[in-house]
Amino acid sequence: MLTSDHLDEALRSLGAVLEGRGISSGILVVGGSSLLLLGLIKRPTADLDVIGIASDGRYSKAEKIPEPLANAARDVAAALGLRDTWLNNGPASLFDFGLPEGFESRVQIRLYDTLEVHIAGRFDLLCFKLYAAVDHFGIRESKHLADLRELNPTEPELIRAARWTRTHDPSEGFKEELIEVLAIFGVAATDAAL
Amino acid sequence: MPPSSTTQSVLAEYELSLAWGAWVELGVSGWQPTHVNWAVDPEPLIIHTAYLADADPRLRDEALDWCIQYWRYVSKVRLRNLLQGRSAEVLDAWGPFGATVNKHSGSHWPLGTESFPYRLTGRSSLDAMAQPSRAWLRLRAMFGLGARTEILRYFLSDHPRATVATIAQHVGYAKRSVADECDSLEKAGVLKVQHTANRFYYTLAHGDEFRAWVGGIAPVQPNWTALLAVTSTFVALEESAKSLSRDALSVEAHRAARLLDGALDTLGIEQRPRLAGGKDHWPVVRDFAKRHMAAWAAGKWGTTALPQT
Repeated sequence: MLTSDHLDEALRSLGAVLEGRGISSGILVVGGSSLLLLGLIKRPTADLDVIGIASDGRYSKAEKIPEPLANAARDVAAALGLRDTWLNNGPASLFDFGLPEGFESRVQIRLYDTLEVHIAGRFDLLCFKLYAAVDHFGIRESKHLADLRELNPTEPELIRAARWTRTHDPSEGFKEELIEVLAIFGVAATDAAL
Repeated sequence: MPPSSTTQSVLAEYELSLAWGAWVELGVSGWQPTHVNWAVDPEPLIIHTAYLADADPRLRDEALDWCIQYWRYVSKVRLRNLLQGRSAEVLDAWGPFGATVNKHSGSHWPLGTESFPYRLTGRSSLDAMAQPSRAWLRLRAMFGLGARTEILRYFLSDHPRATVATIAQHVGYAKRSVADECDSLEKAGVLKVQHTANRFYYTLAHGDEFRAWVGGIAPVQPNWTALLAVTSTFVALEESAKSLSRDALSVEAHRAARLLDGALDTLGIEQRPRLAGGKDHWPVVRDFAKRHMAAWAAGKWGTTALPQT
């Protein structure tokens, strides 16, 4: 598992390796590792979720991790004793139905030599976490629910985030569970609000 | 001369000492012989010497002199096969070297580009091949250049039995050529074939008699392709150490150690750098490289020859 220190060390090494190999790379990251990088949670995380590639001021879906970056990440994993998949594009499908409006303006960029890590903003991470929490609802001790609590969201934020999750899953079943999750946070959402 | 321990490029100097030692055994004008116990394989050494040209122009010039005089003992097929898939840096260095040999001799070595101005030094001498270190050249003088000779070299290098695929992998000739020549050598009674579990294993039919007839063979018979892959990887790392950050160097050192696993196996070296996850790997890899390359530079082989840390 990656603690905040491990994650920082891994990214520092990855950036240094990329620089040494004459490669520049920009990645858009979300998930628990992003919350960790922003100091919003303290729990260790399994991996760094890459959803997009940042290039020329634009983001595109990370259909796959570019080969030179993937090779460097594997070499870093071997050297630091991390899992081979510590940097992966698992949740890249979030890109398919669009990211929350204005997400670009909330991104924070960290530079590790020639590696640019674009970290989604707190509100965007809240949207993704709410979506994941509903998706995993019913699973005891969901880490996503725990992360949501750590974010300490306000009611308006949760309502806005809930509306965004509906763009990704407009089904009735999802809406019912969304209402239940919101209730956990003391938000009594109505059909109309969602 | 062994490099001083304070030298920045100590591994590079060890590598040059190894190359010089090998060339002196082949008849290049050089210092005192250090590798009399090593059986030298010319093609990997020639390719690598072209790559080392910038590091030691005198070595390049003396090696060129030898190549221009004795190119008939060098296999262009094997050169081509060994150059296949090599890095752009190796091919870039090879192009002018090969072209210069071609310009001054009757050779048609592959992948030559533009020759460079060169005057023969005339100092190389291959007056006899009785020396054990010249055993592989002697085989060529006996049986000619080609896969057949390299197959015999393979079996004379302490390889008791092998399939065609394994032999081809070691000798630098295509599997098809090796298969044809193994078949001929078996028909001639030089090799014998054993059929085990759907595979054909070849072995020398009369090993002791054949060895006695071929003459003295130096006891140190490394796979030179693997050996020079190991040395050049370590030297490249040492060079990188001058510019890379500590974090990057640690990762690259770990990667190099992993990549060299197969080559070290081929050389029969069981020891490996002791790498622990998350540590600074370069000092461990450098120490491993220094111990082995210091021994090789001095013409020593085997774990007992390694200097103490």
